[in-house]
Amino acid sequence: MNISRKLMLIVILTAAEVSITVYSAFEIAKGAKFHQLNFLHLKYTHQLTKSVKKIENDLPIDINTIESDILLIRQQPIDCIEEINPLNYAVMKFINTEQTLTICEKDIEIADKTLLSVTQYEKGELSRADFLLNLNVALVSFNKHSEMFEEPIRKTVSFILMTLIPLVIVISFFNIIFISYLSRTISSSIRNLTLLLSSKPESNINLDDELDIKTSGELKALVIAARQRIKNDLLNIENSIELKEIINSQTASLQQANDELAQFAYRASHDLKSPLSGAKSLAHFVIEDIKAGDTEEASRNALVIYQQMEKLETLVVDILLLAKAEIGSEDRYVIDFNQLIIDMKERLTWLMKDNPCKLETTINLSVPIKSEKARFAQIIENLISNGLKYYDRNKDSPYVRCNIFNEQETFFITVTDNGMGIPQKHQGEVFDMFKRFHAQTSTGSGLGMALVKKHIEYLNGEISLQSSDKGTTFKIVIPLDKLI
Amino acid sequence: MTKIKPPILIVDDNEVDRYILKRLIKEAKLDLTIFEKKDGQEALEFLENYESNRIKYPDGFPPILIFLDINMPKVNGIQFLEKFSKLRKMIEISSCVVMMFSSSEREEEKKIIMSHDFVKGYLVKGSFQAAELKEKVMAVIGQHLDKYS
Repeated sequence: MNISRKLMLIVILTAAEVSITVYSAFEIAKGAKFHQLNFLHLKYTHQLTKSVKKIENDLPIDINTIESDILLIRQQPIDCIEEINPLNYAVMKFINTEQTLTICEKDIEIADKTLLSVTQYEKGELSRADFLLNLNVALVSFNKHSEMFEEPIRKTVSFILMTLIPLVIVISFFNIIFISYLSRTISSSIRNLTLLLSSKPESNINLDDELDIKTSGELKALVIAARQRIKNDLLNIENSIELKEIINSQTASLQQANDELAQFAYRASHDLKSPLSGAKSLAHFVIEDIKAGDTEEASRNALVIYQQMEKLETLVVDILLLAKAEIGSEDRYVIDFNQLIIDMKERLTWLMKDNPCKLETTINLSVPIKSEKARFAQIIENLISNGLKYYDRNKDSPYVRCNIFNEQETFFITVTDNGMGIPQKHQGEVFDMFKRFHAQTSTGSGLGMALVKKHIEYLNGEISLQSSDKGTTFKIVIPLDKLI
Repeated sequence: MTKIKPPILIVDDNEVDRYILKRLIKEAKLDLTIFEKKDGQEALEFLENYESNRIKYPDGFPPILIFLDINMPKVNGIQFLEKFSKLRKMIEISSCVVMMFSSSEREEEKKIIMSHDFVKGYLVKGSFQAAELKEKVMAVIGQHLDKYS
């Protein structure tokens, strides 16, 4: 039962108790009124008796007084009948006191008869003696009626007292007990809920179920509404936290991208400007030397200008490759790695000629690799050319070994050399742009390894390196599903 | 009395840039003894070997002017200046000043560089001719030239 119904029941019970009590009071008061009416009846009968006594003593008859006395006597039974309502009548009938009404009716009848006698006497239709006789008969009846009236009224009133008062008491008791019970159930369900909600989080993993079982009615509705509200609020908080995190991480990555771009722009412009301004100055010297007739110096500087221009070209090409590495291409075909190595060797003739370093390549693929050939050509060429450039002159048989193979779901490229190695403190910067660690032997743009990294990231792969003064190994791992 | 050529040091990893600077010095008719180092590390080592180099080059050490590039491997120009300012307090090279010689014109770098009071000038590669170079070099080392002549 929900709380509002319990409270409604309490109200109904209290209202019933109050109305029964009030009704009883009225009924008891009515009993008193009947006694009062009877007393008046006796009083007026006594007055009439006195008038009759005067007639008996041969005194003149005061018709008016007698008539008014009779009218007064007649009034009480009338009032009495008016007072008795159907419910009173039912009660009287139940306890056999309904003769009260008969008594009243008879009393009125006799009073009416007596009044008729008075009229008859006035008209001279009735003798003084007969009139007196009639009056005496009436008096006897009146007195007798008064006596008879007392008993049933007393009986009725005591019946009402005996039944209604215990009833009121019983209802009151029931009410007290029931109200106490209801208020206890209401407060205990609130208390239980409070306990449940204030218990430690770890002691009720299934709070939702507990709440479902232990609450009902309005409390359940309250809990459901509160829970929903809290959930929504938490969700809002979570959402805003998540949103903030997203914004923060995006801001950070944008900031990083921006910083990288600024760094790139600075380094690129520096590395572009350097050979250009060098060539400009050299060209100026060439002109002067030719004027002065020093063709030897002029042709030497012209060669340096040519080399500067070549360097510039390499750099521009590498920057373009780096920009392209970010963009995917639809040029995906099965790659012939044998041909790729042959082509690469041709391009690296300048580096391999007069180079004591031995290049060994093995290709061991169980599935055809389908991807953008240019990416793999650039990855392999950069790693191999680095190995060839930075070989260790102090070692007897310098080598660069490149293995291309697959194992189950993974594609591997490893490039191992016994070259001079990368100093430990610079190993973290290998894939940064414009980094060169061997100033004397460095000829590249400083973008090669950054380009390799970009390609591998594009292919969802990873590149790692191990390096010491014994040599360097680069290991590239790419999931095969990207290459089929 | 034979004329002693004042010594200078060029610190630059780029061979072409070193050649250009040497040639401009020659064009400007500045008669100098020129030392060349390929990065800040080499230059510092050269200066730190003070005693032996004094013996090795009795009239040519220490240099009175250093032309310094910024972008170099190992120890770059800015790192060199830091270490050089400490070195100046330890050995007798306080008369040696620095002129920057770089293609970089980054404001934040320039600020750090010019905060060293021994940095006396900033030459941007490819933006000056022999006459201008002579003027700047003379302004910085004029009094030394008197001493050496």
